[in-house]
Parts: sequence; structure tokens; C-alpha cells
Amino acid sequence: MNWIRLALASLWNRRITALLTLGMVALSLSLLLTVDRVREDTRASFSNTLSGTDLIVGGRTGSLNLLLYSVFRIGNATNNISWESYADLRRNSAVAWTVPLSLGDSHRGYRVIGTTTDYFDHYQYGRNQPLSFHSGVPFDDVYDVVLGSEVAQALDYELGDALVVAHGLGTTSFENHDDKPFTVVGILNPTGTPLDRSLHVPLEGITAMHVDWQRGVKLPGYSVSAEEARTMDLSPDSVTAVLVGMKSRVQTFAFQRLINQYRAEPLSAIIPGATLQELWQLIGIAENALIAVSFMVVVTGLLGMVTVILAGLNERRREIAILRALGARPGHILGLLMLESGFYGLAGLVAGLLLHWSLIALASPWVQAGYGIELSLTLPSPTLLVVLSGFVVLAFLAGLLPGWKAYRQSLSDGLTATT
Amino acid sequence: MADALSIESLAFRWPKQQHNTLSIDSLLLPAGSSLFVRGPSGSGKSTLLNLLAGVLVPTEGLIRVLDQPLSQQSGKARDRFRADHIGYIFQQFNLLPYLSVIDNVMLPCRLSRRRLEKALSEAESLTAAAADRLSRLNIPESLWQQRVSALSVGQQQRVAAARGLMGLPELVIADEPTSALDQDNVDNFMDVLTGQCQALGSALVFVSHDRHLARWFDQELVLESEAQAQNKSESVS
Repeated sequence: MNWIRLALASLWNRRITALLTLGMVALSLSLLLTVDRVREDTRASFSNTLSGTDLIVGGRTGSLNLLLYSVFRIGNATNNISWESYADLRRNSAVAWTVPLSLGDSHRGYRVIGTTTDYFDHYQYGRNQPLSFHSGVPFDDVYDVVLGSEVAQALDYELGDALVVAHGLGTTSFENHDDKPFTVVGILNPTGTPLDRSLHVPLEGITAMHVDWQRGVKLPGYSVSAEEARTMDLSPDSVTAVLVGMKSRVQTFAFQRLINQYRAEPLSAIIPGATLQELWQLIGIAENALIAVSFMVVVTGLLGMVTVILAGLNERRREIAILRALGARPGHILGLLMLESGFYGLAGLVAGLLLHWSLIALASPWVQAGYGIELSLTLPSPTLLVVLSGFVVLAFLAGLLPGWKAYRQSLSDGLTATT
Repeated sequence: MADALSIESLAFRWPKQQHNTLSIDSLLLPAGSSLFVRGPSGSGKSTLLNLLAGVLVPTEGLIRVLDQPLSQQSGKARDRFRADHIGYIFQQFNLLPYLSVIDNVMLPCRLSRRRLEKALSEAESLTAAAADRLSRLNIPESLWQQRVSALSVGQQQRVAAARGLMGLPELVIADEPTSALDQDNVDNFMDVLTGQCQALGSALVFVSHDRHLARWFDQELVLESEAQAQNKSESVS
């Protein structure tokens, strides 16, 4: 006990060096902790976004691309599915339900999704959790809109508010569908998925917005008012993607083959889970590189710490000689230095954890808003905990090097160190 | 009462060296008495102190401290013995800069249970025992809680002596503790050190190259430098 007190007092005497060393160790550890947390939470967030959907069908495109734009609202569709093809696949006897998605418009940076009320019945996230309404009801009228929780919160919308959809994506758009405002009829509960940042309107609403448009531009001299549009045929020509639920999972592969070989139109069908695996493999390379760099930074911190202790040893010859004169064994001296380096490891870990948590707490709202990824304030993953306890053990063991040097030094100096 | 120190045909030689760094045929120091060891540099003074403190072991011969054959014990036992029975005063820089004056004085009792018990047997508390030592060595009370850096060299050496006498060690070893002091301080230091060793019954082994200090001691041992020793042995043969 007395030795620990002495070691701490001695460390306190060198507190500026000690604090900087501690900061180095803590910073290196918090980097590792944060990289791992972001990795875990990104994975969780991606895996939680969609469940219960057996297939995603879209125009012929890469499977990753289809997954990213249909589910994660990242990137854009290159091809659409014609309404006829959609109707055809919906008729297939193996299909239990379909949810068509029409993408391409936005509202103040949030994406607008044209769909049917089936969306609210069949879309599931996390562990097969269905969507639920915080307030209001699913859309019914052509100009109804249902908001994701974050949209409602960030833009301060309530039921009954009117909003205007912009043509195309992006936070600012010069082309607004301002002649056809939508009314908020429902607000969803938070899901922690990109869905929170989406607005949902009926497919007919999307069509109505575009009746006086052609190929992405408003037709000059031709305009149809919102009320006039109601009287027109608003069934869409095409949709961007379709979520498909099978009656039996066994049929998924056969149906996927069928779609991929569809003759009337080139289509792609993907199994979300399998494509997500592809995504992990791709991201895994970058992830591993990041983790490897973080590990190297931690090792650098450890080496720096040993260097600091070793460099200070010469100045401490006096201190060691005094302790020897008072009866300290050479083993005590070795232990004292191991205690010091272990202290750096342990206190560095605690400080690193605190730093990591404050970083996550600071960055979390911003990351949530910008990327829809929920960073969690929790303990490190079990694997990382093993690594971290290994680090603390290593920190103690690293004290063997300066400890051994001090041991040799104290034996040769005896009680007559003159430095 | 046991002798403080006895040496029989002691020789010490560093590994790979041909000549003895130190050789003493016999020496006996009764308990509570004082020994002045004088010699030029290179005469093995420091080696002798390290041998007496049990940090080094002799190449030949036997050292008994308080009737314990120190030179035959294990390193661990010798370190333990030093903690329990020996007070040590360095030439300079005796004190740990990160402890207060009084904490420095209490240090031996923190590291040795035996000295803690002895200190508590003579005073009500460890602090009281340390206060006793500090006042015996004329350290003004205003300095007790100060940091070591606030003290003059002379005061630091007296604090070191106070620490050496904490918990009534049977033997106090001093390694040229006056070499950094001016003459007035030397006299003052010698007076209180020898006086208090006598008062507390601790034997004192004091090393210096300054022959004038001999008058404070019961016995004197003169060591010869290596060169002198060699000359002598050559002229005899």
C-alpha cells in the first residue's frame, strides 16, 4: 500500500510529463474505441433498416446500388420498372405482398417516397418491428403526406400543416411543386433508420405533381391545378423499386431467378440480407484498415509511454538510491516502475473511455441527422473488452523494460549514486 | 548488549579485478559507540558503506551487524535488515522532493514495521515521533510541513539525520554528510548528529576524507587508497 502511495506521489511530482503521457495513451485508446463503436453502430444501423422483406426488385442495375437507393436512400436509381411489369409480378401466385416505391423528389433535403398504404402494413425494421404512428393516420387523399419522426421534429411540422415538395434531390431546389401543396396527416414513431428522414406520399400524389412535367422539366405554358389533377388518371407509369414479400421463403430463389430473366423488361431482384453481406465485404476492407491503424496508434502510445519512463529514469537515480537505503529491494524498484507504467495503462484506459464517450455524445446528434446512424453510449463490444484488458496487462508488462533497467542500475549504483 | 559491528578478515574485489578494492583484517564496534572512517577517494569508503548496509557482499571474510552474519544472508534478508536496523545518511540530496519534510522523516517507519513499532513505543503517534526527531536536530517547527526545496542544504542534512534516527535503528551510517556544508554548519551538524546518536543509543559509522572530524568519534579507521595499499604490499615483499 505504501509503495503505491509513494509511486503516486512520485508521479504527481512529475505531473506535467505524466499528464501528457496519460493524454497520449488516452487519446490513442479513445481513437480505437470510437472507430470500433462507429463500425458496430453502422453495421447495426444498416442491418436494422429493413427486415421481413424477401426481395427488392428494381430496374436492371447493380445489386448494391439497388439496395442503397431503395432502402438506405443513398444514390439514385438509373432505371425504373414499368407499371405493367410491376402489375405482372404482383399477380404472381408466390407473392404475398408488394410495396412499390417511387423516388426522386425531396423536401428541404429529406427524400419524398411515393408508395401505397401497403407500406405501413408491410414495412418492417429491426427485428421484424412494424411501423407505428406517433400521431395521425396513413395517407388517404392524393395530397396527404406522412412524415418520418425526424422530419417532423427537425422541421417542426404538426398534423394539418401544409408543405411543398421540391423536384429532384438536395436541400435547395429552384423547382418546387408549389402549385400542389401536401397536408400532413400522419407522423411515424422513431425507428432509428433512414425512414425517420423520409416523407411518404401516395403514388398518385407523385403522378399528380408531375402531370404538367415532361422529362424532368415543367412544360411551359401548360399547367394543371391541384384540383384539376384529381380528375385525371393518376395511376403511375413506373415505379423505382418494389419490396416483395413471398408467401413462402422457399420460393424466394426461384422468384428471384424469374425476375432476373424477365423478358418484357430488364429487371434486377436482390435478397436484402445477401446483398448486405456483399456490402460488408466491401466495407470490411476499409474497416479493417481503420482498425489496423487504430491498433498501431495504440501501440505507438504504449511505446511512447515506455520511452517517457525510460527517459526519466536517469533523473530518478537519486530517488531510487534513497528508496534502496530505506530498505527497498531491487524487486521493489522493478515493481515500482511496473506500477507506474500499469497506472498509465489503467488511468489511460479510464480517461480514454471518458474521452470516447464525450466524443460520441458530442457527435451523436450530428451523425444521426447527417447519416441516420445512431451512435450508442455503451460499453465496448466484448471482443474489444478482451483487447482492452490485454492492453492493461501489456501496460504493466511494458514496465518490465524500464523496471529491469532501474533494477540493474540500482544494483550497480548501490547506495552511492551521485547523480 | 550485542556489538554494533564486527568484521573479520574482510576483502572485497569487484569482478574481473585483480586487486582488492578493500581489505580489513578486523574491526569491532561496540553497541552505541561511534566510528570514524577516513580515507582518500578510491580507498574503498563507499564500498565499505555498501557492504555494511548489505547492498554488497564481501568476496572474503565475515561482516556481523548486531551479531547477525549479514554477509551470509540472502539479498532479500539483507534489504529487510537494512530497513529494520540501519539509518542511512547520504552526502547530499537525501530527501524525496515530492514529500514534505515530516513525511520524509516518517518514511523509514512506513517501510519497516519494526521501526514503526519502536517509534510508537517512544511516542504517542508516528507524527509525534517524527516531531521529536526534528526538534532534536534543531529543525524549526515552521519548516516541518514545507517542501524539501524550501530548506537550506544544512537543514536538509539535519532532516536526513532525523530520518536516519527514526524508529531507533541500532546503527546509523553516514556517507560524508558534511561535504556540502560550510564550516559553521559542519560543527553544528556534527554536534547534533553525534549527540543524538549517543542519546538514542545508536552506533554511528561515519565516513569522511576530512581528518578534523575525528574528534567527535570513539574510534577511527583509516583506509588507504588502492595505490598506497599496493605500494605497501610491494615494499613488504
